[in-house]
Amino acid sequence: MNAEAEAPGRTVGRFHFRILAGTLLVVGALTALGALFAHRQLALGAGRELEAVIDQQMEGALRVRALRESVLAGICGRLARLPRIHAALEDDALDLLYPSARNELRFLIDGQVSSGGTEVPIQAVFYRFLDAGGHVIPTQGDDAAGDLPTGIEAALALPGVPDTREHGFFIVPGEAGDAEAVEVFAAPIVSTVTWRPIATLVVGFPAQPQPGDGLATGIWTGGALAMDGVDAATRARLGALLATNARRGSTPPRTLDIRGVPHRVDTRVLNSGSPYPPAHEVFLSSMASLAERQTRSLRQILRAGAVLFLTGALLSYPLARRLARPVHALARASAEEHTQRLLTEARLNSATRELDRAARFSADASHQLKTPVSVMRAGLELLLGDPRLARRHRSELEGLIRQTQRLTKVIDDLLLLSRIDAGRLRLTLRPHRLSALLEPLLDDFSILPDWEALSREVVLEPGLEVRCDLGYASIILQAILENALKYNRGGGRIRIAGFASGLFVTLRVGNTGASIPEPAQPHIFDRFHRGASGENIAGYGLGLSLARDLARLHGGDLQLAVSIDDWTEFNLSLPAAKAEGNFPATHSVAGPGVHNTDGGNA
Amino acid sequence: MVWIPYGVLSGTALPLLFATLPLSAASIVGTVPLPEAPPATVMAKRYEIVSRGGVLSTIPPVGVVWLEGALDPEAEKPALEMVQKDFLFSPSLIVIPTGGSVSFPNLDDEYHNVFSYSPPKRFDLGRYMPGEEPVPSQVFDQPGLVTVRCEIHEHMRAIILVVDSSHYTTTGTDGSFRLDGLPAGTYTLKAWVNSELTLEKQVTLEAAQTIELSFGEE
Repeated sequence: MNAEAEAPGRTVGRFHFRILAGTLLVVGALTALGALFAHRQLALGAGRELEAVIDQQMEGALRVRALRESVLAGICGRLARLPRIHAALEDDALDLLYPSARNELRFLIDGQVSSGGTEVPIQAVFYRFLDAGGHVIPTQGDDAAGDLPTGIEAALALPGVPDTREHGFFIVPGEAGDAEAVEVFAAPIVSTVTWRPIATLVVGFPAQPQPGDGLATGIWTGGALAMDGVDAATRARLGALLATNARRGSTPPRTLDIRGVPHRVDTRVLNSGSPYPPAHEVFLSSMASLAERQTRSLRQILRAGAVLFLTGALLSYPLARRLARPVHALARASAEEHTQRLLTEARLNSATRELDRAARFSADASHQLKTPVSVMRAGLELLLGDPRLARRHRSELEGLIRQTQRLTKVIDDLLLLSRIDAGRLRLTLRPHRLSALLEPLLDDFSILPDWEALSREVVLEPGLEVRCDLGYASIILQAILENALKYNRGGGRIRIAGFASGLFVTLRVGNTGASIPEPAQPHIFDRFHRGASGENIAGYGLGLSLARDLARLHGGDLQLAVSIDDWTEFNLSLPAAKAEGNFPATHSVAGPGVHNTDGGNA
Repeated sequence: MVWIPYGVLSGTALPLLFATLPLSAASIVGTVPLPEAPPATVMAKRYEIVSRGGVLSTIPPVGVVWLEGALDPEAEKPALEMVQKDFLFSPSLIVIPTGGSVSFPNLDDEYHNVFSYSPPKRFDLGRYMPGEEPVPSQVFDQPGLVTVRCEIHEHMRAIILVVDSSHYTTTGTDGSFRLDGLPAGTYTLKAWVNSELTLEKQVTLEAAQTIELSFGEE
């Protein structure tokens, strides 16, 4: 028992360790997940915010551009209707082109134009005409058209006159030596007479995207980058990054490290589908605040995780003890149960051994008893065969022989009983017709004069079949009929009725004669019970007991139905042969090892 | 003096030169290959000078033939008239020798403006209403094609072909022409088809000779 007393303590220790480990694992996992999730959410959120800002920027830029374009469209429309422009272009008078257009285009260079009440930033840097072949028509000294930044003249050329307004960007060296972006619009001038394009008006505006909050913007085209707010070195690196990505064809966003702070680089295409080279607007935003927020949130989560873990660790002690109590109790209970089981097993074993011994004893005893009895009987019969025997000796001998017969029967019955008790009885169950069971018995009984003297009534339902062991069923029936005969009176009556009742077949045997007194009724099936009035009656009290045990082994029963006044009735029920299923022995009368063989079905 | 009969495209043209036919004058008859009359567009019905891809020509196409270099310096310089009527220049084709002049009276109820950017003569007579006195006019002292336009009305266009010759004529719509009273000598005969195409042929004229040639050959 010591080992079991120790176990609960060890169990608690192990249990506590497990709880602690579990808490650590859970808290660790939760913290890691939380940190990961928060990290990602922040990044996503920041990314989305940034994109929203960028979209806003783009929208603003698009509005400005749309305005410029509409102003330009108006100008081009008016120009198209100017005969002087036509004359200059058609009549070999290009030198007069710019002077002729000066009036219309003067305001572009000079200053702002109000449109719808608001000042519109459409002050142009220059304007030029392209001929029908797309080449720039030189101004020939006309200053009013603005100065063309160096290097642009060739770039402005187009394959011809475009069908719609086209949009392009160019990076030119600025005043301070850094790069500036110029936004160029090319609009066709279409003759309203012939509906043919006669020339293209190209206007250059300064492209200065307004920086947003925390956002530096620039234009990137033709491998050059124009961006305010960043130094030349950063511009160069950014340009290189954009060039590399353009070659690879990858899409934003990308990151650039500027003095240790990560920056996010986004680009948007500005002029898709334009005959001019593609240009992108570049957005540079610092991720410092995002990084800081992420670090902060990570720290918060880790702190929370640590707190959770400490709490968990502290709580785990009382928790473990509390949880261990039922474990404790369970351990004790199982130990007790274990002991009980061992005891029960031991008892069962001893009981079985005793039963075996008893069975063997009764079997041995019965066999031991039968032998001398048969010897006695043989000897007596031999004596009876002597013709010299006197009459009174003869009747004496006959009486003795009858006693040996009786003794033999008792021994047989005892043997049967002992085998039933030991569970060594094998029943071979087969379907038998009830009538087939009864008839031979009735025949046997009919030689008895007492039987013949009774008025007999046999009423069997047709086709009754029972599932039974032929031999033992006959023993049951014999016992019942014997009783009905023995306990009858002169001039009495026997009534045998057989009928189906559910899954069973019932045989009701009734007889006239003294009824069994009430107090004795519960005991009639006891072994060796003899009725108070039965002293004169042959028998020794085993018949009913055996019959009932055998009936129960079949899965049926034998019961006293009624015994009152002059009528006693017993009910024997046996399983009907038609019924499906097994009929385990009701009220098990035998110990372990009862065998019911059912013609092959067990 | 040579009397040269010649036909003009439309409107009234005042023969400015009457001369008697000298017995020794030469003549040239021939044809100028003219492009097929293009299918007239709705616009073209209103206008008679048409510009296609920047090339000016007449509708229906006619040519102008002149003997280059045979300019009589003593001859009186003709003064022709090109009116603005119904928002059209009329006539829309005028041929004058170098030194001739054209006046542009406004016969509409609207302002009109007469100008040209053409290299032979760039001029701008300003805007004026009908009844402007004196009638604005312009002397053309350089040979070449002068496109006359109205600053206000884009569709108004006319051609003044200033030729370095006293002997000129416009062809029929079939391209046929006849030049009479030509002086003997070696000259270049030119044929204007449209603002881009001017055919030429060398001719040697002898007195009282009639040459028949066609610009379409060779």
